[in-house]
Amino acid sequence: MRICRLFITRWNLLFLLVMYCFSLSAQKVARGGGKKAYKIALSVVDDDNQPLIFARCELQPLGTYAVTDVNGNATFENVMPGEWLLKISYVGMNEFEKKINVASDIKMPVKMYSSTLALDEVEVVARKNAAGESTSSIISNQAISHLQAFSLDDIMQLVPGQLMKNTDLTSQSNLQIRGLVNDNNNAFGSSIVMDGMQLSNNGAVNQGGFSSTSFVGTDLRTISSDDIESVEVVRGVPSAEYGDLTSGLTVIHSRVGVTPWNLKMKVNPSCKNVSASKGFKIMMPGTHRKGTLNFSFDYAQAWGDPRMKTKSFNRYTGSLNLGYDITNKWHTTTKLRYNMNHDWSGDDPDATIEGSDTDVKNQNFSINHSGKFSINKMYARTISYTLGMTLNNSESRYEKIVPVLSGLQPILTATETGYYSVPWATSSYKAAGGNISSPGNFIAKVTDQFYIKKGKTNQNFKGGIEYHYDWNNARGYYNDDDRYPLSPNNNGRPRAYYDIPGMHQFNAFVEDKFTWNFAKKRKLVIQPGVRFTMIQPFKDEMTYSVSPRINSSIDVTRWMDLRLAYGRNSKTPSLDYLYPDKKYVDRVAANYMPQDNEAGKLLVYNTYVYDVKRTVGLQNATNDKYEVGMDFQLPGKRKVSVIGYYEKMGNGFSSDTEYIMYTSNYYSASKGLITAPGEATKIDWNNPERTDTLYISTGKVGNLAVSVNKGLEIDFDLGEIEKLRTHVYLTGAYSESQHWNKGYSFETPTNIPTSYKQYGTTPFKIVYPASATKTVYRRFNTNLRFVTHIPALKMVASLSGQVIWYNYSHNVNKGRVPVGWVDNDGSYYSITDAMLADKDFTIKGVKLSDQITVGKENVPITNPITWLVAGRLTKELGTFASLSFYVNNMLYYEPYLSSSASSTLTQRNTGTFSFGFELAFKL
Amino acid sequence: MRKLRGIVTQIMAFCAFCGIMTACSSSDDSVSALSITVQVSAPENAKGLELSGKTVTITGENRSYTGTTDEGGKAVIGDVIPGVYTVSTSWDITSEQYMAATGETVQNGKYIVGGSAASQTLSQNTSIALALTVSVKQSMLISKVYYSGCKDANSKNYLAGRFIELYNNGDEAVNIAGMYIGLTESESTPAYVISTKSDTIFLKQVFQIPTDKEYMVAPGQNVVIANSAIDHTSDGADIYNLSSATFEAKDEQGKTTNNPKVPALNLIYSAYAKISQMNLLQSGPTGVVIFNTNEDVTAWREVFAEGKEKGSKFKTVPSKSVIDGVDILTYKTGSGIDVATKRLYDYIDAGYLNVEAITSYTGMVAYRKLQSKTDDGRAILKDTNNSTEDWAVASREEALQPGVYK
Repeated sequence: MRICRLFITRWNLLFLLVMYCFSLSAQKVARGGGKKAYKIALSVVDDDNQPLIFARCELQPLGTYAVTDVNGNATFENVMPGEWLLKISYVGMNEFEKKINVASDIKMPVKMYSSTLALDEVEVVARKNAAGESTSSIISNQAISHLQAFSLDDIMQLVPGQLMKNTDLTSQSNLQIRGLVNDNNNAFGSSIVMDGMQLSNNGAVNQGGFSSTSFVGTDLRTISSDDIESVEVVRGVPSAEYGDLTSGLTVIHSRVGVTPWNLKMKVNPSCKNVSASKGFKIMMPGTHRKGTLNFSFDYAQAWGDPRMKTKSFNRYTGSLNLGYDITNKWHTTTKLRYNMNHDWSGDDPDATIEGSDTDVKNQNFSINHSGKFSINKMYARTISYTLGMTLNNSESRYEKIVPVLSGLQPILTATETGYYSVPWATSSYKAAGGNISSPGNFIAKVTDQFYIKKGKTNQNFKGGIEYHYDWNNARGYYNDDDRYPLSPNNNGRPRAYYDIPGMHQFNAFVEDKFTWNFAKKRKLVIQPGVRFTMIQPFKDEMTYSVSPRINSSIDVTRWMDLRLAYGRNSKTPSLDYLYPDKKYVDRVAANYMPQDNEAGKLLVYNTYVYDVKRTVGLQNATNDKYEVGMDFQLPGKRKVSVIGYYEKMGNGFSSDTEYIMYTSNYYSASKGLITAPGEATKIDWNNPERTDTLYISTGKVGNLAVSVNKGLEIDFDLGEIEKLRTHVYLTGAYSESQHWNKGYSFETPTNIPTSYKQYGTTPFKIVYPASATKTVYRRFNTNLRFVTHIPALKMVASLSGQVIWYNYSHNVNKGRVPVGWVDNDGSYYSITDAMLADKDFTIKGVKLSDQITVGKENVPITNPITWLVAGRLTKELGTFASLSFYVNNMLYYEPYLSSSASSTLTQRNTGTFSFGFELAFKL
Repeated sequence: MRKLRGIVTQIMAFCAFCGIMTACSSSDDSVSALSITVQVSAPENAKGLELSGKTVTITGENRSYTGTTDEGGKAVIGDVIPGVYTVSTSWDITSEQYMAATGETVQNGKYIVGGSAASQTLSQNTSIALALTVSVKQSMLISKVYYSGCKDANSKNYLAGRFIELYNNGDEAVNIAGMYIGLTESESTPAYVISTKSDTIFLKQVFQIPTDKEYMVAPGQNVVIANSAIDHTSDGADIYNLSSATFEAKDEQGKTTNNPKVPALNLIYSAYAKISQMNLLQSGPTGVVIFNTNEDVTAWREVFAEGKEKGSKFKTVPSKSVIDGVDILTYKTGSGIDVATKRLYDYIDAGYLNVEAITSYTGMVAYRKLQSKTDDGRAILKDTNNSTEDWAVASREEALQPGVYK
C-alpha cells in the first residue's frame, strides 16, 4: 500500500502524461486504421409485447448510449467490431444484459420483464459494482421496498460496514462514509447526485462562529425513498466526472418511464408514509412526438416518541419528470421537484403553560434539464449536458424565555468596535426570532464521451466542464426585537446573508477507461482521470485543486481479479467557511448601578469587532484514498470480495487558532466615572481605572482537522442452499477512524494570580501543540443475510444477523508540554527544554511546571460482542399488490453488559426494536 | 365417624392457635426497643474534662431520646426504636473550666464541648463511643446561607439573590474588619479526604472584610454579605431584599447589579477565572467558613487536589484559624447525602446540612435556629458546633429574611 501510495503521489503527473500520450497514439491508429463500423438496431418490448419508450440502452465498455423511441426502437451507429456488453434498463423492469459480438449490422429484438417476485432473480441486498470501476454498492428499488425504507437515511444500512438501525425522521441525518463517528468533514464531503444534478451544500450559512458540530451536508431524511429506482453508494475512488466531495458519493436515479400507478403505504410505531406515482406516455403539444411524464407524490409524518409529543416531522415531496426526444438524436429529461420539511420541537404542551418552541420549515425547489446528443462522431459519440437550479428556503422560528441567571443581562447590539452605553435586563424575558436561509445553486455541465478501439484494447474517453454558482440571499439570523435578543451574548448578533458574496466554481475533468482483453475472458482495466477545481477566480480567496484518480483491475486468473485504486478528492469550502461571521467580543467598561439614583445608572460595554471578511488562504479539503482489493469467483456462483482501504484527510475544515490582541478600559466609581446624586453618570474617557490587554481568536476558518480512516471490507455471496431456496450473503467491515487537530492552541495559563482571574485577563498566553489528544475508534461488524425466495409463492423473506464483534474507542491524551508563550506586547518566546526541566521556572510570576500536563492514561474502552436479528418478508398478492412486514431486533435482545472500562452494566441495543409494514399497489 | 371428625377439627384448631401465637411472638421480637450505651471520651488535650451529668441525645427522623452520663461518661438510653440516628452531645464550659481541663492558659471566653456520630444504624443493643472535642464558643457565627437560588416570575433560574448572613451571638461588640470568609472546594470528588489533613482546610475562594476602618458588630446584630446588594423583590425575581446588605462581593464581568453604596469585600483568592463573586453552588457542596489570622493569607500555599498535577489549585487554610464553619453537602437523587463528601472536621462542624431537593433553585434558605431570647429581646442562636442540630432549612414561602430568626 505504502509503495503504491508513494508511486502515485510522486509520479501521478508523469503517469497521467504517459497515459495521455498513449491515448493519443491509440487515436492515431484508430483514425488511420479506418475499420468498418456497424449499426445495431434494437427493438425493446415489455412482457406484454408492448414497445417500451425511453428505455436506456448502453454498450459497455464503450459507454455509448441510446434511448428507445415511442416504438421501442433504438439504434447504435458506427459501432466498432468486437464483443460488447449490451445493457438495457427500464423502470420497474429487470435489467437486460447480453454480450453481443459485432461483426456485421445487427437487428435485435429485446424483451424485458417486470421485476416481480415470480421471477427467478430478485435483488433485496446491495449489489457490488463491477471490477475496474469505483468501489460501490448498488441498491435497487426492490431492495429498498423490501427494507421498507422511509428515506435515503434508511437505505444506507445496506452498505457493507454500516449498522442496522430504526427509522428516525425527527432528527437530521447526514452521510458518513467509512467513518465510525459523526465527523462533519466526512458528512460535508459526502456528495449526493440526484438524476444527474449534484445536491450542493455549499450555500449553507450559519450565524455565529465556526462550529465543528453544527449540521452540514445534505439531510438524508429529506430524500424520500419510494421514488428511487436505484442508488449507487461509491465508497471508493469515484470517477473524475464527480467532484466537490471527499469521503464518498451517492448517485440516485429516480423512477422515469411509463409505469402503472404505484401506491404505497408504510407504517411503523413512530412514522407513517404514503406515496403515489405514475408514469404516463404523453403526446407533446404541437408535435407528433411522444414523451413520458412521471409524477410522484410522497408524504411522511413522524413523532420522536409517540408517548411524548415534543418533536415532530412532516415531509411533503412532489416531482414531475418529463422525458422527451426533441429529435431522433437529442433526448432530454426535465425534472421539477418540490420538497417541504417541517420540524417542530417544544415543551410538552401539557407540562408547561409557556415554554420554548422551535419550528423549522425547509422548502426546496429544483429544476433540472439534461439532454444527450447521440452524435456518433469519432471524438463525440455522445454529448451530454445538464442545466439545473435549486432554490432552498429554510425558515427557523424560535421562541423562548431567556434566563438572566446572575441578575444583570446587558443587551449587546453593537456591530462596530467602540464603547457603548447599553440597556439591560434584570430578570428573565421572553424572546423570539429566527433564521431565514435561502441557499441557491446553479449548475451547468457539458460532457463529451467517445471511444477508440485498437486490437484487443479499447478506450472510453470522457471529458467535461462544469460550472457551479452558489449563493445565499436571505434575511439570515434575526431577533424580533433586538431589545430582547434570543442569545444575549457574543454569538447572538443578527447576521444578514444578503451581504455574502456568491461562489463561482469551475471544474474540468478528463478520464480514460482503458480495457485490454489480453487473454480469453481476462482483461486489464485502467481508468485514470484527473479533475481540476477552482473557486472564486481573480479574488483573494481563490483556491484550486487538482485531483488525480485511478481505478484499475486485472483478471489474474479467470477466477480471481485484483483491484488497485488511488484517488485524491477535494471539497471546496462552503460560503460559511469562506465568509465567516464577524467575531464580536464584549467586555464591561463600566457597571454603575446606584440604587437611589435611577438616572445615574450606567452600563457601558466595549465591543470589539473583528471581521475576517474572507478566509484568504483557506484550501480545499482533500482526502487521499488508497484501495487494494481482490474478487474471487468460486464454484457454485459463489463470490468473495475483499477490499482494504486507507484514507487520509490532512486539511479538513476547522476553526483556525489565529490570535489577536486588543485593549479595553474599565471605569469605576472610584476612577473614571463622574457621578452626582440625581444626575446621569458621565465618563472621563481618558482616566480609566484599568486598561486590560485581551486576546481573542479571530474566528477564521482553517484547514487543521486531520482524519484517517482505514479498514477492510468484505462482501461475500455464499451462494444458494438450493433445497431451502435460500441465498446466503455475508458483508462486513473492520474499520478504524482517527481524528486529531494539527496546529497550535493558545491558552490562558492555569494558576495565574487572582488579580488576573477576577478580571478575566491573563499575563500572557501559553502555546501548546494541538495534536496532543486524538480519538481512535475501531469496529469489526458483520451482517449475515439469509434470503429465501420462492417464486411460486411470489414471496421473499430475509433474515439479517448483525454482530458487532469488536468495538473500541480510545481518547489518547499524551499530555501537553507548552512550546512557547506570547506576551502582552505580542512578542513570542520559545520555551526551551532547560526551562521545562527547571521546576521553579516562572513566566511573569506564573509557574511553568503548572502548565505541563501529564498525559491522562485513558483506558481504551472495548465493548463485549453484541448481536441483533431482523426479519423481513415481502409477498406479492396477484399482480397488483404486495405486502411487506419487518421486525428489527426480533428477539428483543437488549442485554445488560459491562465494558472494559467500567463494571457498570449498561443496556445495549436499546431503541433497536421496531416493526412495521408496507402495503403497495400497482394499478 | 362424627367423633373422628370432631377430633380432627380440634387438632386443626389447636394447630391454628399455635401458629397465631408463634406469629405474634416473632412480630414482637422485630419491634423490641433497644438499649443504647453511649460512652463519651475527653479529647487528648483536655483529659481533665468533667464528663458526668451531661445530656446525650439520639436524634432520628421523627423522634429523639436523651440520656445522662454517669461519672465515667457513660449514658444508657433505653426504649430506642431501631432506626438510623445521629448521636451527639454538647455543653458549654467557661474559660476557667477549660483551663482546668487542659492546663492551657487562655483569655476569657466561652468554650464548647461536643461530639457527634452521624448516620448510626441502631438495630440491636449496642455501645457507641463518642469522642469529644473542645472549641472556642465564638461570638461571630454564620447564621444564614442562601445558596440554592430560585425560579423567577417566568420559572427561569435566578441566582443573583444568594447571600451569607453572619451574626454576633455573643455579649460584646466585635470588630470584624479584616475577617476572612472562605468557601470550601467543591470538586465532584472532594479534593482531600477529610481524615488525612485534619489541620488544614481547602478553599476555592477567600474574601476579606475590608480593613479601611473598624466594622463593629453589636451583640444581636447581623452582617449580610451579598453578591448583589439590591432589592431582588422589585421585579419578582426573588424574595429577598438585600439592598441594606453590609458587604458585597463585587462582580467584575458586568453580569450582576452591584450597589455602589455597599462596601466591597476584598477578593483574596479565587481558584477560577472570571469569578469574582461568591461561588455558592446552588446544589452544593457549599461549605462556608469564617476565619481570622494575623498572617498574610496570600502567602499561604495553594495546592492541586490530592494526587493531581493539574486542574484548579486551592488555598490551604490552617483549621485552627477558623471561627465558625458550616458544611453544606449535595443532595443526590436516589442516594441522598454522601457523608464521605464532608469537607469540614468535627471541631469546626460536627454535622452537615443540605436542602433536600432533587433540583436546586428552590428558594430555600439554610438558617441557624433560635435557641432563646434575652430579656431585652436579643436572639441567641443555637451553637453546639453541629449544623445537623443547630441549623434548619426554611422554604421559600416562609421568606425568612436576613435579621429574622426562629
